[in-house]
Amino acid sequence: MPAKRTNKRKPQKAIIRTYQAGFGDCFLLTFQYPDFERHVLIDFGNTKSPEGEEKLLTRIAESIAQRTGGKLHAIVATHRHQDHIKGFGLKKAGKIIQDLNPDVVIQPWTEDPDIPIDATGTLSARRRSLATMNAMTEKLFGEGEIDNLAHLKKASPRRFDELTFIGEDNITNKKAVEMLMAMGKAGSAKYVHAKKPLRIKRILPGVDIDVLGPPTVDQHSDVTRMTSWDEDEFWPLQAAAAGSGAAGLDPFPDAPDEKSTFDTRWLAGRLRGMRLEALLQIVRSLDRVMNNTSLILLFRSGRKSLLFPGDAQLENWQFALNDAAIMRKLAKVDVYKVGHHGSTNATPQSLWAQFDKTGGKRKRGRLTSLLSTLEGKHHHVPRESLVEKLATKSNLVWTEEFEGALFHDTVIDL
Amino acid sequence: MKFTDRPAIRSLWVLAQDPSIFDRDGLPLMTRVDVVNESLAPGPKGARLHVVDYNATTDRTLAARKRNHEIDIVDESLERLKTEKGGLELTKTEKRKALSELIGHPHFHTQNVYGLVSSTLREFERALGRSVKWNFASGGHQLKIAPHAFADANAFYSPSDEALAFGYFPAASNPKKIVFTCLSHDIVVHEATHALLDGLRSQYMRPSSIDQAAFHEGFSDIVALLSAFKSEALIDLAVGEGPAANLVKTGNLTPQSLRETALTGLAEEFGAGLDHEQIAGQRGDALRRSADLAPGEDLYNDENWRAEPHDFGEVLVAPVINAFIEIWSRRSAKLDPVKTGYVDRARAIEDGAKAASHLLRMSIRALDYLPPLNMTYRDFLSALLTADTEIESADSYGYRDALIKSFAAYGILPASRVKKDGCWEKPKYEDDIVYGFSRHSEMSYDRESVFRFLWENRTPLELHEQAYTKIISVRPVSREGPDGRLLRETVAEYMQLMDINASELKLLGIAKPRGLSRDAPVRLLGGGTLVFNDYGMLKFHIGSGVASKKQKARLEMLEKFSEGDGERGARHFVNRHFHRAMSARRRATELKA
Repeated sequence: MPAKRTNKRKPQKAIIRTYQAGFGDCFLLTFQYPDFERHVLIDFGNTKSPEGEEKLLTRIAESIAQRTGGKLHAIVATHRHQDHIKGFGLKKAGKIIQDLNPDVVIQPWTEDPDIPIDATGTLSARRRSLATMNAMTEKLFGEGEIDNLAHLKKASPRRFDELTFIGEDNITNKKAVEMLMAMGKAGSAKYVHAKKPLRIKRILPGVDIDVLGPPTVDQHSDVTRMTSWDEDEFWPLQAAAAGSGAAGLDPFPDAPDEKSTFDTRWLAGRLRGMRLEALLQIVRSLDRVMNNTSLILLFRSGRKSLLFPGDAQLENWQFALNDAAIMRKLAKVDVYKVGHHGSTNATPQSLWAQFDKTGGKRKRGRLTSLLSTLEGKHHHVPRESLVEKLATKSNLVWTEEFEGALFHDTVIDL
Repeated sequence: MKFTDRPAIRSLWVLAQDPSIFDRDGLPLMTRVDVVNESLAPGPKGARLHVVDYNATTDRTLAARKRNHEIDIVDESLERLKTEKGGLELTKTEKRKALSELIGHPHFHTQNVYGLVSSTLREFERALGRSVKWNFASGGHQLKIAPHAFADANAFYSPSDEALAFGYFPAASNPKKIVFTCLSHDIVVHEATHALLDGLRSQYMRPSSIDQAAFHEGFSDIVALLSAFKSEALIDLAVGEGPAANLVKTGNLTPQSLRETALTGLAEEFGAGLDHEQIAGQRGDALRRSADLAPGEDLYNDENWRAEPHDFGEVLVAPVINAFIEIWSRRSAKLDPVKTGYVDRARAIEDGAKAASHLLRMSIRALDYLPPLNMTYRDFLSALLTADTEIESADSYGYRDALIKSFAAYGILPASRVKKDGCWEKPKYEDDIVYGFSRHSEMSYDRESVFRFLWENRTPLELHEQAYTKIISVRPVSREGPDGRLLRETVAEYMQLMDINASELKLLGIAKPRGLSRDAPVRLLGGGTLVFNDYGMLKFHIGSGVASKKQKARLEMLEKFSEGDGERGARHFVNRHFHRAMSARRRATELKA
């Protein structure tokens, strides 16, 4: 009978497997239907693995292959950062995932190869500036390049670590990007922006997916009343990229060095400090810009809503937070993947305040939050005050508390 | 015992603008600048400057010239090439090649920055009639200059590092070509002026009115542009071709025509060469902007212009540069009394350079007649007028008249409205001021003596008795007066500081800015500049108290830019220049579009 058939195509449970990926995100979202399962892999990367876990991403890939029984239905790559997509580019781990034959690969519009980088128009300009930035970080922090910066460590070892950490996260990740594109070609590729309908009911029956971010350049301008993102974010970065693209550029390779004077050393130390600060400022802005290309997806099925915002920071969120209809949906969120590893402005106050299901331990249907971090690997995340809020007002699943386990499953009855 | 027999001054070759600007023979446009003839150590390192060729991108320190006299070798080679003295008979192509090799050498770069910064320092010291110190926390005497500090499209003054840092970057049009900010006259002089101004008015780095925030940028552009126009080589280029090599049409010397050739024309020429978009922000792009900014009496009070300090700086540069054009034209008109339609080219060029020189000196002298903090553009105009009147009571070439009109065209009126000439008036309660607490001579150097004078006269000088008060500086000044004799003055600065809560503002008669909570802590800053004449009598008292109405504007500005008081140091200028570079790039794109 028709009614019965419909029920069979409605998921009854969602199981979110949070992997301990080191400093990085990897979630396997499984929808359980009466007769079958559908698997969605959301991000697969890290910048740092825990000590002695060099093959971690391969182990995770094997675990995913085992759990899915050899078939992935969808891959979501929220944005281009290494801690979200590195695994796709690794020889062994990437191959394992590729062999799971995903039906669809979902990425933000900023990755869409059909928006030509060398064309005019705001979308192309945006893609172009992102590419410039990636090229710049590649030059500075790509394989073998980082040695050129080693002398800056003398200025401040701590700031230097921060610089290389953020820098490495922002390199092009060419192999991963190509692998995602190849998988998208084999199946189907979706490049989406805020409010763009994502029709994959055939693949995930009974599940609605709302795209809340990233906004396009025009959508962003409408909300912020800024003439365009290019003016406020991308010009500075592009210019900085243009300047620092010259990393390692020696204007006088043949001129002899000075070895014997003492009175140049004080200033040399100060100049190293200035250089370090300047680079740090650039990579921090760049990091933020990349985070703001992050997909924000809201999965809805039955009465439950699961929110996966990648690393979206405030500027990306602004569009969604200004939309009344989206805000109504956000009020009902049951599972929240904490944005950007718990950083300062990735969980905007107004977003947190919007969640109806936050509350004390006795709160019925209390919010579940998923947080992935690695102790001591990032200087600004997670923010302590946010972790405290998450721990007291929601059921917190935190990778730092996995105690050696590779993953944790959160089961949600839909 | 022996005294030096060295001549006090020597001159050095520097680039008149940058390597992309050529003279009529197609050779890089160069000029000679006068610097103090000092004993140099490798660097060059002199009494006030130390050029350190360390590069933080490559982690290399380039070898400096080993001996003092080697600076002469580069300079003499240049001299030979430029003047064809010394028996060199080269073809133009050979000359071009030899010059380009010399200019491309890092030792010339160190000479260029040393020459330009030294001559700017000397210009300040001559105008002010005394030495100028750097504002370094260490009390050090030598400003460090890194001509190739890093690969970046940036250049800045960093007080905490006691340094000027100049970056270099690959040209967008040709990545193999490197653009050196240390070879741009405007950038080098602009950054040197930041350092000099900081030494003279240490409080101007504090956040206060938008005028004060913009003044550092605007004033540095003014000094850079007027210094460039002081060079006859550049003026020659600006005047354009004449009917004969030694003549120029009077039609080329009207204000309108000079504006087109000397401002717009030169700005375009500068832009054509050196990957302009990239360098625009560093060199300040001041020429283009002052040529583009049409006068408007609403400009000074226009909230759009007042929103950004680096934009608002332009509102100060344009009137000064327009006054320069006006004065140059007036001077040249006198060269053709019988209206032949032509004037002697050399004289017209000399007049332009003289006008630039005089205005530059006026602008620098004006600093002594500015309040130590909370300054406005209107204060600057009154200071300019006063500085010039003190030296030359008759305005024979109409400098002051041109400045008043030019500033008025942008909506800037003199701060002092009591006197018709716009100059500062005498102290308000002059007759109540009491002298005789310290000896006359002590008052010219001793901070304690000046403080005692201030304390005893706190009522006629309208100081707040409960504020923390201190003397910032006491500087003896000697200048050549109008009668050719030495004019001696003493310039002293004091500041007052008071920490209160916002709710207490009304007790002082200051309106609380909107958005400031009642219990917010507020720091009020006031102060004044005291100018004593040769007899030790107070001639001017320029400034505003801790409870003046300027405080409201200052508090609103702090609120608007969310800046805490006291923020200063490297980041301040690094960021400001960074944003400025962006703004110039944006503008360049808009213009193209």
